[in-house]
Amino acid sequence: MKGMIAALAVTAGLAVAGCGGGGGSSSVVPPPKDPDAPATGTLRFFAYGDTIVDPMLDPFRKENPDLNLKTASFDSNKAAAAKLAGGFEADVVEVCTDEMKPLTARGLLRPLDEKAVPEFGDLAFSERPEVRDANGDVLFVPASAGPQGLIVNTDEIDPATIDSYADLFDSRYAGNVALEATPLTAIGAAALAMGMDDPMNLSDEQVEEAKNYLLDHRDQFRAFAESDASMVNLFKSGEVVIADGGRGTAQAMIDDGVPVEWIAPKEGALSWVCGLAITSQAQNTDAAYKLINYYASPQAQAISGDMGFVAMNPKALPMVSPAFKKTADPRNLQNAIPQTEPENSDTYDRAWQEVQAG
Amino acid sequence: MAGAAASPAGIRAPRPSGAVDDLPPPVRRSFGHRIRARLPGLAGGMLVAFVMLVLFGPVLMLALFSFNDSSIISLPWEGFTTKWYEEAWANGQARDAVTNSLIVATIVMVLSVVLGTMAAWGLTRLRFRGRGLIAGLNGSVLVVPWLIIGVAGLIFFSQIQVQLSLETIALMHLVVTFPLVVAIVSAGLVRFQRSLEEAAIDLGATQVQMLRYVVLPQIGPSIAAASIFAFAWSFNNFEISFFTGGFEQTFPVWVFSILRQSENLPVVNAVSTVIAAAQIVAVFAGWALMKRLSRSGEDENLTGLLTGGTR
Amino acid sequence: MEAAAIPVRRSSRAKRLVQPLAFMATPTALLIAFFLAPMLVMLGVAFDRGLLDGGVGFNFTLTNFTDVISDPLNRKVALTTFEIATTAMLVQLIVAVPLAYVIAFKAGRWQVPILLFLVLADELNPMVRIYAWRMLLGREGLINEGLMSIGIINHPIDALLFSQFAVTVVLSTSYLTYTVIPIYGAMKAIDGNVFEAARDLGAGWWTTTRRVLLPLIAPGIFISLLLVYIPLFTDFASPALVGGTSGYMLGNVVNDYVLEAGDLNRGAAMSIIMLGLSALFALVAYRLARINRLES
Repeated sequence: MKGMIAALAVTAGLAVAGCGGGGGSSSVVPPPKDPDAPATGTLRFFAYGDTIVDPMLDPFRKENPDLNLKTASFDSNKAAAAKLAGGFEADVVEVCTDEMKPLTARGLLRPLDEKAVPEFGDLAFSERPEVRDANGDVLFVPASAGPQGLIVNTDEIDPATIDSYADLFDSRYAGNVALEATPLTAIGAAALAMGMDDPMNLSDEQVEEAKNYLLDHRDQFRAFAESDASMVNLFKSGEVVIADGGRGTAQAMIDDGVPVEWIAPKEGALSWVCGLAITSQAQNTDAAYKLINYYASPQAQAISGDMGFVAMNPKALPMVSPAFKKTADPRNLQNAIPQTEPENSDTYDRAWQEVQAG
Repeated sequence: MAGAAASPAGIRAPRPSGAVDDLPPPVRRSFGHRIRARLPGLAGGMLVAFVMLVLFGPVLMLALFSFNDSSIISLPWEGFTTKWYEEAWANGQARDAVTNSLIVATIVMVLSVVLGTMAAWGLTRLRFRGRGLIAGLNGSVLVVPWLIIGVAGLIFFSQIQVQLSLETIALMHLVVTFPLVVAIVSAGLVRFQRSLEEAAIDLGATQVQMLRYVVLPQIGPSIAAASIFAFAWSFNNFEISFFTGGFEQTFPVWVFSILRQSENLPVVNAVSTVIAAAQIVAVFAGWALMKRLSRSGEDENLTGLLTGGTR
Repeated sequence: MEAAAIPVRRSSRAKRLVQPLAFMATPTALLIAFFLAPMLVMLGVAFDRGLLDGGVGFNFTLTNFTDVISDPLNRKVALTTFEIATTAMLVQLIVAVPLAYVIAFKAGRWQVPILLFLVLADELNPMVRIYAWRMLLGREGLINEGLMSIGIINHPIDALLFSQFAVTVVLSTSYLTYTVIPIYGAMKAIDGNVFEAARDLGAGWWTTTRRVLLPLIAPGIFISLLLVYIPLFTDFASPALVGGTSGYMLGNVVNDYVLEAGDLNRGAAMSIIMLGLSALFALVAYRLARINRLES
């Protein structure tokens, strides 16, 4: 026993001294030998809580009955990076263009072979610069996109009177407003409401101004929603009547019988693009490609389109139900302000933290 | 201080203090009697009722609304349904989370009771160098907040490059739980005379026989209580599971994430109700078991245990 | 372990060496490996310059501590946390002292059932409890709906949920068991004679409470503080779920450092500071409890 204790003490000591980063590969993930064979083994899928929904994943589970699909969720790519760097392993991770820097900076993603994803070139937004790394290798495959604007409860507010981010700060709705707890969109919404025009490229001073604006209007807000679903709950339980949010979120509420409408503000809707990437610690890379190809397929994108998101695969558009034909069309996002990760994203993060702490 | 002047001193003759030792119960009663004049019994009852309402009211409400045919948890009552229970049963994540927690808590309980009882015996019955130090180590585990233990665990496992999983959760649960068993069982051991054990040894019993036939029956209630607490500490543990868990979620972590990330709230209602009901049954069953195990069959054991455990 | 199976005579030398080892080795090794070692590793990480700067190996620094302490945000949150934790503790003591008194001296045959329910309250899953409060306190929750339907209020009271009030209520109910039971224990140990004596000397109920009861149950109160006040400072699920925009506490800061920002070094420093402060507090409470017990 004494020996064991000594060994453990030594291990602990070495661990302190070692402080090495998690191992992993940074070379391009080799494509599966037999791309048509159903996936087997275990696949660990780490994504935003809202992505992990049964309607989306069930067809994939059916196609790969021998695959053990494990899922876990996070609120932000930053949090995902923190967990992945801290001993939490996954094979596939969802990334978004506007907040994936913490993942790339820590070398947590492994580029993939675009030839192993046949639909890649056809996918909307696959030409976005964030999709590739410095060597030109593909980091992630776009899987979903959508506009970010305003959600209003039509029982409480006449939607015709709402057309601007400034409405979030209208004293008539004091104490009945929610904001998404994402630094970029929260600071961005405040900046747009104040009349600034480039919310993704604010200077440190402008971020400071937007922060003070939010702090001055803190009583305006009932809660900060950690996720789309928590936003749905806030509307559903009558806690808030107006908020910033995605059209997909609004659609989820409508599907649930909550009387809301999504509105594109006159300052311009923001647009986000997210996709799937393979992690540097990935073990089951064959199954990872399988999942990514499933998400890129017309079938999966049609399901996503019916959930109020943009259908990334053009072949999916005819399969989308009539009610969502318009919103599923990627051209719909042409005039939106693309959400990109600001150079000074740390300043945004810090400003938002100060708003949260009050 | 006005109350002092108005106090009805002299209603009963002062009792000579020497006689009290012979008659403790009447003294207790007389004390209660005195207070009743000041603080009506009703107030005490109301206080208890209020506390019970605050502690259990919300959970009862939750149970009630798990049968409400509405996806929103509020009035009006939309009609009786069991569909949330069916949905909960069909919900793979919910089932996995509950199963994971049951497995972890069961393993943690068994190992904690074994290790904790061993350590309690060592600490109360054996003399060796470093005893105080080890007792202090055990005690300190109980006062370090779980959040900090969770963070330390996360950092530790990431530094020694161990992947987070149910195993890491169980390991950390075990480490915070068995010192509780040590505390409860030690309190039980301290209350019993060693003379019986010594007599058993003198009569030729081996250490094992003595443990089996003399000690175990005596500390049975302590062990039963410790088992209940150990199971609950693991089953309810959120902070440590949250920080040291991997892909497999435990029940509290699942509820936490669903409260922030999903729309399936009535399902949480249903699952929570089942869990709460099971916990109520477990506590009462444990209590009954304790009563059977204790020689006297007296409830005094429970109070003794509770107070002993916290000292 | 096998030593236990060997019949040993009392006072034999082998027994004195082997037996403690047999009983204590595994538990102690476990504590060293997975309690002490993680704490030491965390201590090391707190003093390390860290991964973010790309440093390899251990580079001693104090910046993690100075950063965490000098951050005005943390100080502000510390103050909020202190407020909430202290309020919750006081609320619990105000309820717990009379409650323990009632259970110990007035409950009669209800004594055991009440205690059992208190234990049960602690066994109930804390997440379930938080969740239940959330649906009770909400704008369209049962309390607001109820008050409105009987016409006491016209508009829902917003301050019930997503407020410091909500955090305080949830925290108070979460820890009440551990506040009541030590105080109850101290009450049980009181000899009823002392009240008799106090009364005979002409003391009123307030004087008796203040001069006799409180000093006698002080050890119990200190143990309550030890068991409850410290965890109150580190709770982060309750503020995250019912605090809304006003429940950002120290536990959330640690969570943000560790799981949001992935800054293990500062997260470790913050944890060490909190650990140090709670150790200090525990030491003081323990000393006070002991002194009081010895005096009484």
